[in-house]
Amino acid sequence: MKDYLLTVKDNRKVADGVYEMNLYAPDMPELKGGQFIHIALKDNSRILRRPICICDYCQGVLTICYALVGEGTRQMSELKGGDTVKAMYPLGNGWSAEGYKKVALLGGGLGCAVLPLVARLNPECEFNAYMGFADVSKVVLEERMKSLCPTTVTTDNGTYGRKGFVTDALAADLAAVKPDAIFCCGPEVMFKSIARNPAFANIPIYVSLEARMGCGLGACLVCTCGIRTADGDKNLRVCADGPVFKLDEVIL
Amino acid sequence: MNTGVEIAGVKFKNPIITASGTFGFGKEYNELYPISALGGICTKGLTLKEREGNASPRIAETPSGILNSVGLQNPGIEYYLAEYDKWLSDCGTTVIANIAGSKLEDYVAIAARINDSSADMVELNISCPNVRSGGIAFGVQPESVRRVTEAVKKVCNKPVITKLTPNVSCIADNAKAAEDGGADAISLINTITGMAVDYKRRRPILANNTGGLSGPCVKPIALRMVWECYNAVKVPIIGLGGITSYTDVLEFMICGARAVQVGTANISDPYAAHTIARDLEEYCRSNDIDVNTLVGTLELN
Repeated sequence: MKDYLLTVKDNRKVADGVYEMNLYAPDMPELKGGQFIHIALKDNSRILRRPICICDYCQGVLTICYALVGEGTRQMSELKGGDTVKAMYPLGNGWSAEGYKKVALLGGGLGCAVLPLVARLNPECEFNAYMGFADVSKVVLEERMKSLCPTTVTTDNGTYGRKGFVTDALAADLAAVKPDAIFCCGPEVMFKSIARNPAFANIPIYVSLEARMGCGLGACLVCTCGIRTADGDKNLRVCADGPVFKLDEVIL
Repeated sequence: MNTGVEIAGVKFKNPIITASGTFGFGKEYNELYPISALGGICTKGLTLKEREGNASPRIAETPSGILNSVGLQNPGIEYYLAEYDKWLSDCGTTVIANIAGSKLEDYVAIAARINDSSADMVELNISCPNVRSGGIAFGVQPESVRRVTEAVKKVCNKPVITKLTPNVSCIADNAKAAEDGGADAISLINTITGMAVDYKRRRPILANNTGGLSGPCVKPIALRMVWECYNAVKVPIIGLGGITSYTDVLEFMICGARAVQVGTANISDPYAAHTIARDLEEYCRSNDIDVNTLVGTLELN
C-alpha cells in the first residue's frame, strides 16, 4: 500500500445520486476483493480522506462507484477526465474465495459496488450475483456484473427486475444456487435480516462493513466495530482488521 | 545548521514528534517510511488494563478539523511491554510513552510500571476529554495538575511531560502547576471539547455526543497558549495543535516550543510527519539555522 497520484479517465452519473469514476492506476500491488481506496479531496478544509471500496480493476483502470452523501462526495463528482486525485491503496484485509467453489454475491444498494472485483479476481470460483435496489432509479452496475457472472437484479418496489428484497430472492433460489459461501455488502438492516433467516443458517457468510474512518491504516482507532473473538468481544478496526468479517462474529 | 533538540536531557534528532493517538505504536506508518526519520514518537495512551474505548461513530469531520472520541482504546501496559517496547526501542527514534488513568493510584501504578520499558520519556495524559472518569478530570484544576504530576514524579525514573488541556480558563496557571509538581516538560494543547450535529436526525454525530477537536482549525488557539505558557514557566514546552507544515513548526518554536507534535495531519496525509521533518531540515540547511535559536523569539507588536 502507498500513496499514488491518479489521473481520472472519466466520472459520470450512473443512477440517481450515484457516480462511477474510472481512474488510470497502472501501478497496482496485489489486490483482493473488498479492499478499498482512500481518496484525498482537493478542498483542504475537508481534511479526512474518503474511503471507497474498489469496485473493479481491469486493464490498469480502477473503478469506484459512489453515492453523493455530503459535500465531499459532491466535490468528487465534479472531477473530470484528466484531473488528478491523490489516493492510497489497496487498504483493508479484503477477501478471496479460496476454499470455496460456489459463492453467492449479495449486494444491497451501493453495497453492490464491492461485488464485481470479488468475481473478477477469483475466476476459479463459480459466482451468482444478487443485487437489490430500492427503486429502478437506483440500479447500477448490472452490465458490469453480468459480464462476470449470472446476475439477478431486484427492486423493493418492483419497478425493475424481480420485486422484493434481494435477501428473499437469494433465499428463494438457494436450492438452485447451492452456494458454499456468501459474500455480502449492504446496509446493516440487511446483515440483520440474513443473520435471522434460517435459510442461511449453515452457510458461511462474509460481510464487508463501512464506518466513519480516520487514517485508513489501523493507527487511529476511530472506525472500530464490535467483533466476537476467541478473547471475548473486541472493538476491531474496520480499516485494517476488516472491512471483511464473518457475519456471525459481527455484533449487530 | 542544526535540527537536533534536547528536552530534559533527552535528545531528539529533529523537533518533530508524532502526537499520541494519531500514530498507534508506529508500526503502520513504518510501512510507509522509516520512522527513524522522525525526532520522536509518542505512543497511543496506555492504561494499566486493556480498554475497549467508546462506541462508534468515533470521528466527525468539521471545517479544517476533526472531532474524535476514541476513549483511550489501548491494549494495556503489559501488552505494550511484551509486544511493542522492544520493537520501538530498536526503531531508531526517541520514544515517549503516553500514560493515562482513571484515578491517582492508576497514574502512580502505570508510571512505576513504565520504568521497566525502554521509553525515553513519559507523557502524562491528564487531558483526554473522551473518558468518563480520570483523564481531563485531573487536568482542569491547577491543584490537581500539580498533585498528579508530583505523584507520578515520585515513582517514575524517566523524565515526565505533563500534557495540558486547553479546556481551562487560564492555561498558564496549569502550566505553572505542572512545573510546581516537578514536570520536566509540558506539552500542549490536547483537543478542545466540541460537538458535531446531524440536523436531520437531531442527534450528535459522535456516539459519545462530544469529542475532542483537532486539526488546522485549532492552530491559532494552540499558538496563543504556547506563548502564554512560555511566558509563565521555565520548563521546556512541546507545542501541538493543527501542525501540517514546516512553517507551522517554525511558528510554534518562535512562540516558545522546544519541539512539536504532529497529530491530525498524519490522518489526512500519512506521510505528513515525514514530509514536515524533511522540509524543516531543508529550510534549516538552506538558511543555515539552528532551530534552537528560534525558541521564544516572538516579538509582540
